[in-house]
Amino acid sequence: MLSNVIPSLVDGFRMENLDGEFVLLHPARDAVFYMNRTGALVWQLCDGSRTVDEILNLLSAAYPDSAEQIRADVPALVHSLIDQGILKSG
Amino acid sequence: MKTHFKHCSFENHKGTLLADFKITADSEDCISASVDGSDLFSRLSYESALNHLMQDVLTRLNGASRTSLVFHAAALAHAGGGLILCGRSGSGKSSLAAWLAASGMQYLTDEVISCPLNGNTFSGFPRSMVLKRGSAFIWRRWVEDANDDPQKFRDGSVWARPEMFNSATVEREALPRLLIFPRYEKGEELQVEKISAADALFQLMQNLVNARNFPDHGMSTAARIVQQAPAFRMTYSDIETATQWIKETMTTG
Repeated sequence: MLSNVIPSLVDGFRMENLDGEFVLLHPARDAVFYMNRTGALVWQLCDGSRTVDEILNLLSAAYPDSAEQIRADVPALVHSLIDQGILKSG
Repeated sequence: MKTHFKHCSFENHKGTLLADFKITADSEDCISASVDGSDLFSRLSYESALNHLMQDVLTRLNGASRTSLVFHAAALAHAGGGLILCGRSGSGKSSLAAWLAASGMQYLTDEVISCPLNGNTFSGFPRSMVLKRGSAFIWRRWVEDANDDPQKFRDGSVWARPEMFNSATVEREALPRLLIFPRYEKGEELQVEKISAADALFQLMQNLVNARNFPDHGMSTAARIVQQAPAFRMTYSDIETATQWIKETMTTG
C-alpha cells in the first residue's frame, strides 16, 4: 500500500515554473517531464516529510469539494511519478 | 547540391573545421564516404548517398552550436511575424511548410530553426525542401508545373527549391508569433488546441537537437520562446483548412 510511503524528490532535476505548471528536466538522464498544476502541487508536497496519507489529508482539507477526486487520483499520480523516476519512495 | 543550398550562407566562414568528408564514386550506384578518417557509408546509390550526407552534415552542424538552440522545426514568416512548426520527421511539417509558402508566406526552413541564447529572433536553414512520397498529393502540382527541374529520387521524394512554391522571398530570420506542433492524420478533421506555456516548453524541449551543449540544457532560452508566442497542438488532414486557420491566426494574433 502506498498510504504509509513517504515520497521524496529525486535529485538532479532542473525546474521551470510557467504559470504554476512545471517542466522538469533531468540532464543526466536526458529526460523531460511536464506537470500540470495539480501534478506540480503534489510533486512539491512530496518533499520527504510526509506520507501519502498525510498529503491526501492536506489536499482534501484545502479542496474539500474535490476530496473524493483527490483520494482517487493522487495515489495513482504519486505511483506514476515514482514509476517514472521523478519521485522516490521511502 | 549548390543549387539546393544556395540560400545557406557558406561564404567568408573562417571557423574551426568541424568535419572532413572524403567522398569517392566508382559509379553513380557505388558511392562511399568517410568522415574524419572513419567510414560513414560504402557503396550506396547516388540518391542514398546524398540523403545520408545531408543528414550527417546537418546533424554535425546543429550539434556543434553552443550559441544557439537548434530545434527540429519548419518555419515561415507572414505579416511581420514568424511561424514555427515544430516536430520531428513525419509530423507533416514539411508538407505544411510547402503549402504555406505556396499560399504566400515567406519560407525560412523545413528542417531546423536556430534560436540564439541572446536575442528574440530565430533563423532558418533554408536549404531546399525535402518532400516525401507520402505527401506527393500536396506538392505534385507545383513540381510538375515548375520551370526548373527538382531533384527527384527513386523512392518518390524530391528536393524542391522554395522558389518553386513562392517566387517572392526566402527570409533569414523572424520574431516568433505562433508556435504550432502539427500532426498529419489521414481523414481527421482539423483540431486545434491551445496549449499552456509549460506544455509548449515540454514539447519544444523534445525537439531540441543540441541540449547537451548548454548547462541548463537550453531550458531557460526555450522558456523564453514559449512566452513570446502562443502555442497550439494541431491535427490535420485537409491542408487548405489548416493553412487558412494559420494565416488568419497569424494576421489577427
